This record gives sequence, structure tokens and C-alpha cells, in this order.
Amino acid sequence: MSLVAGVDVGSTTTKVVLIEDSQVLAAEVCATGANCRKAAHALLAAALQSSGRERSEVRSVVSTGYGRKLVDFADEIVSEITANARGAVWLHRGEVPVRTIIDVGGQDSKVICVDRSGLVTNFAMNDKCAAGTGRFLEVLSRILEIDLDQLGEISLKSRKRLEISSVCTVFAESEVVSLISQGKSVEDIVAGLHKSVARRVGDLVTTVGLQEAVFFDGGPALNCGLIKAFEEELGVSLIVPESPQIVTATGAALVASDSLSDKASRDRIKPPSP
Amino acid sequence: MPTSLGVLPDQQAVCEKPPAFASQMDYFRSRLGADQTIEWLRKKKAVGLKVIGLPGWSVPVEIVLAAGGVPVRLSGIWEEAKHFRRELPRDICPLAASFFLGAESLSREGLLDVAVVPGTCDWKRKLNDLLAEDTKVLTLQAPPSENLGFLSKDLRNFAREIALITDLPVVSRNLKFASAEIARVDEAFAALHRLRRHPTCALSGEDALAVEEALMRDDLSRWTERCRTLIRLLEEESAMTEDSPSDRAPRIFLAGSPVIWDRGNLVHLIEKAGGKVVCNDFHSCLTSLYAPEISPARDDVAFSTLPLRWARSCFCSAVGEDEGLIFRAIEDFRVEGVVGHTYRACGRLQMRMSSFLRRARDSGIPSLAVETEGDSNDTERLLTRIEAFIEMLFARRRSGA
Ligand code: SF4
Repeated sequence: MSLVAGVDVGSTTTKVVLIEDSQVLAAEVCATGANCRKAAHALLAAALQSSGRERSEVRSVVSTGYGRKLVDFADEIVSEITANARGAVWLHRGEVPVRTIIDVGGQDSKVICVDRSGLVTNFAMNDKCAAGTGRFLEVLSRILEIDLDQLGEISLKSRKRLEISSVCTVFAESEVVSLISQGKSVEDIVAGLHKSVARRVGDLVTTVGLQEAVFFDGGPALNCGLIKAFEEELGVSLIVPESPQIVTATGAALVASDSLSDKASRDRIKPPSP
Repeated sequence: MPTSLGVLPDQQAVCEKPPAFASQMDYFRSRLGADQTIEWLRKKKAVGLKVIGLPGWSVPVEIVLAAGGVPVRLSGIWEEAKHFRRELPRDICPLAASFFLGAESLSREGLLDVAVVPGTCDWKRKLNDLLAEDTKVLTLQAPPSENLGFLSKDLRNFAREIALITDLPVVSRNLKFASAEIARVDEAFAALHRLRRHPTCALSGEDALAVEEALMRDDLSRWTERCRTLIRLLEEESAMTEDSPSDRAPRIFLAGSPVIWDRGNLVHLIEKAGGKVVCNDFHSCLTSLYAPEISPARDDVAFSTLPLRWARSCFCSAVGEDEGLIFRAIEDFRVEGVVGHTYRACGRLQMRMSSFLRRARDSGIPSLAVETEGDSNDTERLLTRIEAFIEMLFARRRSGA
């Protein structure tokens, strides 16, 4: 296996993963900011530096994510659905193969079905609205004046989860403001917000059909409160990888490696030139 | 520039059009501007002919021709007239809106004598009220299923009303000539669509859509002649092209709400993502392809035979109406995936689409549901989903699934 790179330019963060010989050599994450191209360049340089490798050694780069077409050093591009499925299936090496993947991103959520061989068979994505995405939690954590990465721990302390009936981020914002002014506990509000995201993602799961094992990734999968809410909503245990944010970039790197092998086998069967 | 996994370099080369074919397409594309249609209609009006605005090929055009009227397609491409949009309800179906814009533009130029609105859905019925002020409107009732006797009566009324506008009664002899003209158009359409079954046919889905949209934006006889030339060139071209099955773009059937040429054209997006739309269930495609069964106007011209053609083609989509035809086309065209499109405003198709797509999946055909508002907002997100779908079809093919 040659040295390959996957670049996932998401709406909130950009991720780069370097893979060689079925080993992740380096994984870097940074905020995407206003210039996706710059973020991708800087991150690849950081990943190369941390693994002690040179740019010239990278045989192929595949980009994915919403800014995938802006990565000017990519050899190929792939949709985040294909990349995410490839990464999830590769990362989970448990006895029961992954059949459903939930990927919650900053701006969208996806549910992907794969067959026993890891082939994507169906998928669903949320529509334009931010409900059921990382953005929903980001906006509301600001209203609650809580750090995004503390939401999980806080919600686990909830005694009586509150109902947040609005799925729309804007309406949920006013609902949360009103709950705060009623003196409701922050823990119960946050648990209610997690439940709201879980319900929304649950609707997507219903459209494609749930099959175990279920894999959960994307930045919000670092939130233990959200994992709990999803497990309650879906009635199954979730497989959450150690670094859920880099699954799609890992998948993109694997696609790069697949393409190199495909090309090599195509070259092998090419008739010799006359 | 990186290449999308959906479109392999070899395949891009296969898609390049030969000059002869491309120049023939120029005629069809050139008919899609409002200016050309206006110029054509001015000439018709100058010799005293009456212009009858229709939503598309899904109405009894024979009657319009037999009454000496000039049929013009109103829906589909009136982007130039978008400033009218502010007068329209915000949630209007884009297809109905494009019909409205077409009618308003021509009325403003004094080039439209009547707009014919089929009452086959809520939005089309509402057009009646929206248009009534400045444009004369004739409503065709939605055909009650199976009641062809009733339909026949309805069509006779329609013929009488059209005759009042053109001053020429619809008599049997004229209807015979008109039906023969329609049969020639249907035959050309059918031949063109049959070619699309062939794996090496160079006609893209977008080209086919342009050919369809150009119909009734010029004389029917000229369109038919051009279409026949196009078919000949395509036949020569596909005979010369070598087939490379593994790199070939996945074959897509596009079902549901008809797309609008110049507003976020979904066919364009599917092909940009690396797929190829080989068949769709818009009026001309399915109805002309399976014409021997559904278009008796070809060999018999009596009024009693018209209703069947009208009854089978008057709805926007065969989804929920005549799905047998779709599944037949899926098989005939060796379709690898179905994209089911609905406009957000189209309650009628939204209700039916998910069960249709489920049936497609159950029969082993992957499907993708796509909801749009008929404009180019949110194209990127839509493109991501379509690209993922095309990648999925490529992966299935590679794995032999
Ligand atoms: S797409 Fe739906 S709402 Fe629009 S004209 Fe057709 S049936 Fe009516």
C-alpha cells in the first residue's frame, strides 16, 4: 500500500488523514474558517510534518466534504457519503459488520445503509434546515453559555429531561430562552436538546431502515449525552470510534488507495503497445 | 483540476459529441429562447392565425391543429419573464409558474389568443384564477378514469371552444390530417427515445430534454424533419462508437415532476455528477415509446379514439398513474438507478413518490428521492446527494451486484 491522503473539508472543521500499509500515520483537524483551500494546504503540511514524510511521497490525494471541489491538490474527489461509509466499515472490525452509519456533521446529517460487503445500498440526508445537525447544538450552546464540548457531561446529570418541541433552530432558540427565564435546570434543557436532535436523526433512520450494527461518527459523536439520546431513540447500542471526526477523511484516504490499486490492475491487463 | 469519481476520464471522451450531431442540436437549443418563439409567433399572427398556448404535449394537440390554431408550449423556459414572479404565490409549483410566465409574456406581446389549462392538479386549476385577468383561459377537465365516453364529450366541447377562437370548425377531414401530423411527431419521438436504449447512443438526457422542449416552439413539420435528421446522425454515430461497459455512465430513469429547462435543471445535475438520463416519464417519452398501445390516433382519427391518448398522458408523471409503463421502460432501457423528483409544492406527487421508489428498490433498482423548488438554490447539496448516488451505482457495477 502506498502513502495516500484523505482531505475532508467540512463546514466547521477540516480533517486530513495519511494512511500507509493499512495504518493511519497521521490525522489532523482544524477549523475550516473562511478559506477552505488554505486550511487544507496547512493541514496536509501539518500531517506530513507529524509523520515525518514528504509531500512528494504522497501517491494520491482524495478530497471530500462540502469544500471538496476547492482542494486544488486533490487527484480525485468523492462524496462524503461514499467516503464516510468506506471509513466506517474499515474502522469497525467487530464481529457483527456495520450495516447502518449515522454521520452527524456541522451542517448536515446523513444515515447510510451498507450491505454485508460494505457497499452503500441507500442513504438519506437532512434537508436545508440545521435541525438534527451539529449546528443546532452549536447555536443553542451559545444561548446557554456553555462550551460545546461540555454539553454531553452536563446532560448526563439531567433528572427530568425537558421537551423541546421546535425542531427549527430559530424557534428552538426562543423556546430555550423561555425555559431559562422560567428557571428550568440547564441539565434538563440540554438533555431535551439532545433528544430533539435524536428525534430528527431518528426520522432519517426510519426512511432508510435500521439494521445493526449501527456506527455513529462525526464531531457530535464526541458528545456522550448525544450518544445516550440516540441509543434511547433508536433502541440499539451504537459503535462510536475513538476519533469520530476523522472517519470521512479516513474513508477518502482509503478511496485514494483503492483507486491506485484499480489503476494498477487496469495497467496490468492493458495489452502491450504495438 | 481533480476528477470526480463519478466521471472517469475515458468516459468523458466517450461523451464528446461529433460536430454533425452537435450542430443538429444547435437547432433545438436555439428554439429554447423566448425571442425565437416570439419571432415565430409574430409571423403566424401576421397571416391571421390564432395562437393556442398549451402546457406541453399532454393535451389533444390534434384538435388545435384541426381548428387551424398554432399550438405553442407555454411551460418550461420563460426565465426572461421572471420579474412577473412577484405576482405569484410564493409556494406555487415551479412548473405551473413557468406556464403562467409563458402565458403572461406572450399575452403582453399580443401573441396569445387562449391558454389551455388541464385541470389535473390543484396548481394547474389555480392557474385559471391567476391568469384569468388578462389572458383567455380554457380549462380541460381531468379525465375521470376509464370513463372514455365522458371524455369524448369533453373533447367535443373543447373542440367547439377552440373553433370559436379560430373561426374554423373541427371537421373530420381536418382532424384526420392533424392526427397524421401528430402521429409523425410521435413516431419521431419514439424513434429518438428507442435509440437511447443503445449503450453507445451519444444523445445525453439533457439533449433529449432540449429536443422535447423545442417541440411546439416551431412548426411541427420542421421539428419532425430536424428530429429525423438528428436520429440519422445518431445512428451513424453510435455505429462508429466502441462500447466500454465498465466506464459507461450509470443509466438513470428520471421519474416525477417534469424538470424546467432553465431553472436548476435536474437532468443537467445528474449528468454533471457522472450519470446518464436514458429515459424519463415526462409526456413525450413514455407515451410515444409505447404508442401502439396508448395512441390510437395513429391509425384512426375519430373523436372516440382521442380520449385514450389524452387520458394516458395528461398527468405530469406516470408515478401513481401508470407505473407499469415505468417498470417496462426500466427493463427495456437497462436502467441502473431511478431518481424520483418532486417539487416541494407538488402534494400530488409527494404522496405517491415514496411508495413508487420503494417498489423500485424492492425490484432491485436503487433509487434516490430528490425534492427541489425548481430553482438553482441549494444546488451544491443536491449535487452531493446525486454524486453519492452515482458513486453507489458505479460501486454496485464493480462488485457485480
Ligand atoms: S408538478 Fe405537481 S403541482 Fe406541478 S403541475 Fe405537475 S402535478 Fe401539478
